[in-house]
Amino acid sequence: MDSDRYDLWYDATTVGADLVVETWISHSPRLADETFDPQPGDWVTVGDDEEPSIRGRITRRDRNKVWVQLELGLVATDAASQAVGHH
Amino acid sequence: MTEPLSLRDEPAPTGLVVVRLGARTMEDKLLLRSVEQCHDRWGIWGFSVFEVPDGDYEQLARMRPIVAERRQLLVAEATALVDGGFPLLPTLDAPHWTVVLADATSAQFDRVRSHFEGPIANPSYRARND
Repeated sequence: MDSDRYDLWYDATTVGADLVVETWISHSPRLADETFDPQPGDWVTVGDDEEPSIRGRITRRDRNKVWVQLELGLVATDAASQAVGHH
Repeated sequence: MTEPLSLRDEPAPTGLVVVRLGARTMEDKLLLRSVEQCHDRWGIWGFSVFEVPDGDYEQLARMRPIVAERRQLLVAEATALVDGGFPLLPTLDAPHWTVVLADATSAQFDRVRSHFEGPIANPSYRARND
């Protein structure tokens, strides 16, 4: 899996029953992207360099930390172009 | 600022088996990210695992739907982890546990990795048709 095809890296073993997972911008491939400023309500893609990336909606942000609720019915094939800040 | 570490009143059951989702998830680079997040949250070095309730992977997938999305898993026996010097804490909601490390070093990662087997094919994997 090409890591630049998702916005935020996640540890799948930390995903809760509510499908919310904490991610860090500093752990993610868009760390150096100054245009990347995800906010609650935005759609993003999350990935872990193994399985296809997944779309999710941001539920909360605290500076570097971003909580994303995954949409498991929506594997993010080609969704990177729809995510925050991609052009 | 760290959060208080709340533990479930739940001793590790006999024969407890735990899993990490994925095949590469315990490589140094990826494990370090997880351990850093744990340290930031609770002030301890550790990483997440899921209990396989009564050895039933389908039940685990019902409790944590993300499990069914994963093709491969790494598996460990809780007693081997604890005997190897890696305590298990019943954190967050069942079936979540935290494996505690003394520090976030490659030596520690090597040691804890040696207690995990796999990757194995996930018995509860739900292949997508799309």
